[in-house]
Amino acid sequence: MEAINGEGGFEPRIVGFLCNWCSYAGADLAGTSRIEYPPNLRAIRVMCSSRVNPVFVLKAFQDGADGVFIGGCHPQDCHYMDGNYYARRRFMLLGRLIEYMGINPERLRVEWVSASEGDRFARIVREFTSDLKMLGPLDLKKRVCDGI
Amino acid sequence: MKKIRRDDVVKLINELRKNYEVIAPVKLDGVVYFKSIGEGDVITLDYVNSAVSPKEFFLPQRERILEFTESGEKVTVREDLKSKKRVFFGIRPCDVNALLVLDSVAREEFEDPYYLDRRDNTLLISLECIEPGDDCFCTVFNTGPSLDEGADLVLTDLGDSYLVNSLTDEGRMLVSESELLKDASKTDEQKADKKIAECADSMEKLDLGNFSVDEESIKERANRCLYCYSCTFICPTCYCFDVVDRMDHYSGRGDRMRFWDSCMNPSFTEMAGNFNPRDGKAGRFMNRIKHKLEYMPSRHKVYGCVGCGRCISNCPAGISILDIIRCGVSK
Amino acid sequence: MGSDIEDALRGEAEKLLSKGDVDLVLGYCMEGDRVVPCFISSAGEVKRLVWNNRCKNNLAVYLRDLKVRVAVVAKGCDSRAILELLKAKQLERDDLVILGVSCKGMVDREGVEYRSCGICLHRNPVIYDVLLGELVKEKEVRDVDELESLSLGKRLEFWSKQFNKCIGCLACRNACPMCFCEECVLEKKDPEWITRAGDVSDIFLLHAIKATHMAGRCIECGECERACPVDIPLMHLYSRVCRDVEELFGVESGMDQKDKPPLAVFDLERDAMWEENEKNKKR
Repeated sequence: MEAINGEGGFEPRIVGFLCNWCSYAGADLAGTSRIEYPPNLRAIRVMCSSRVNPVFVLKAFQDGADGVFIGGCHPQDCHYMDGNYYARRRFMLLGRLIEYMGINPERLRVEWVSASEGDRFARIVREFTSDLKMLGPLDLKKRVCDGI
Repeated sequence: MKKIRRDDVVKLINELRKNYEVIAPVKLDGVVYFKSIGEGDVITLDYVNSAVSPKEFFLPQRERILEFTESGEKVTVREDLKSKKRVFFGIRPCDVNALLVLDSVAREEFEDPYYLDRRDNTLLISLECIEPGDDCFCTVFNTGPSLDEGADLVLTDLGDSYLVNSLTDEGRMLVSESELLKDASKTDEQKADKKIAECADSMEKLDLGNFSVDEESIKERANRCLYCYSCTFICPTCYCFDVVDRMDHYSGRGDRMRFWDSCMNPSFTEMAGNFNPRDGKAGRFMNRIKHKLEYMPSRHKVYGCVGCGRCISNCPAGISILDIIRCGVSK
Repeated sequence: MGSDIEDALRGEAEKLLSKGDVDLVLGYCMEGDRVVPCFISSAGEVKRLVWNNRCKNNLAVYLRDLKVRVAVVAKGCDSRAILELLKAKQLERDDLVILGVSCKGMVDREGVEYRSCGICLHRNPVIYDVLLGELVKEKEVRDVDELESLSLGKRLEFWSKQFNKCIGCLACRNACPMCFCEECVLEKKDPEWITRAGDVSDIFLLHAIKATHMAGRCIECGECERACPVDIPLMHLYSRVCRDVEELFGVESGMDQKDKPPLAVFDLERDAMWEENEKNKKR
């Protein structure tokens, strides 16, 4: 992943898995409403948050992501009825696992963003970016390979 | 012959480190590994053998054998072959013989330049064994406990000192300047011979004259085998590898990687079209045993097993190649 | 007494084989000074079967591929593995005769107790057709995991050091009775999640992915740790996942065949509450 060079200082790289029906639409609304938010999130559209396999999250961290965001529909509003319920369970577990292995679980963020919540999406990305700036780069590959 | 005080061995290694990379044994959480010694590494002389065999220093688990860059029509390939001379300290006679087995494979019709580059640039200081490990059986294949050829220097434990014997000119020159080496006496040499003989006498010997793999002994073990890659990866003579070209289309850069493969993996013999002539478990197990004990001797005139015992110590299903060998002898 | 159980085992095996109730008895026998799994197919061979404090192997790992009726010796952990395999519809209950036996912990060839036995809370078999010997008292309190007290940075350092030892032999996967996928995600080529041509970060992913796959299925038999040739303390990782599944989803693997796989179901109220807990914990 190529780094974005900010005004100096670390710019976190966030990979965002956004579900097609809710959060991707919400992100799109943020764009069409011309709401400004940091460009650190790279969006990947998936049909449902439950499409996201924990492997994707781990791979993103391995390939250089400092944070991973998963956006789904609000509980009870999933386009496929119950996809987000499975995702919720899955990523609570993954958060604990990565914490046990030494990755700060705050780097994995799961939020339910509806298609109408453009400003909320922007706010979430703004917050996540600034949280990650405080946490610093993950550099997972380097840290694991060097044994530190 | 020369000798060196036990306490001076680490000093000798530090002397060598001034001019060479030195690989020596260290203990981590009670497990012994060979490691390229750096600042802060504590060398151990108290070990039977390493968990993983020394082959990883000659045939690494993953190795970049070339890099290429593509820009437009032009492709540049870069191969890095000149390793620097280095010293491998503490390799056991069985593992030295294992390198000789790997040599016979690497120097066939097509030579393996990557392996040979490392091999030819490594000086071996072997440590003979005066006590066998629980699973050792080098005497079955005459690969130990003493070493007469294959290494540059051979050390034998006399208790408070080590006898030092140079088998090659390079070995002799490596330590000729060191003040840590003194002359050994005839008594020292005799003591060393006695210790080695005692060690060898306590170990099993088999007459491999009429040896052939006993297929009955394979069957039940093939059922127990879990088909993991443990034995093949820790074995000092297993050399099978896979090669893959990786390309990053955005940057136009790529490389060719070589890495260990295992015949225990069902996809070892898988071919395009999903055809697999050896996908049955028993077939893979039989192949591994026969490769070590029949195909290697017939093709390379040397047994593929050196009796290091690592596979026996580590097999989670409790399979011992020595049991299989014994069955093949008693005919 | 160990030898009473051994006699009972041999008696039972002989009975089952001579009556033709089973085609195979899967138990333990001696090979040299090692205790190894063995497959007995005739009543005349039952004297080979042993029972002692070195019978560590989880025999459930062999059951899937034996397409015959099998009587299997099952300790607490083995029986939980069998139960999980039944849940996953990998075994036919009618093809199994489970010879349950309580275990007081197993030791290695040096007489040292395996770590998984030291922390075990299920020494009694949870499912069996015949019980050999008697049930034993279970340990009541879980041991504390010493890694919990390490900081995030120290944990990453610990696991990175361990994974630098890993040779990717996948013995942990092959020894695990719950790893039965015909095509394993760890070796998939298209897409290739983990490559052997990579670096230690691929090894990190290997173990993290395997751990997520064990969620709700690992029964903490410790075979993974025993199989590892470079002594990586894998039980820490899988035990952690087991504890998380128990706490977050309220289900313990390998105990009740009627339990549903925790990641294939949901409980709206419970999950919402835990989601809130997890978020608040972090902030």
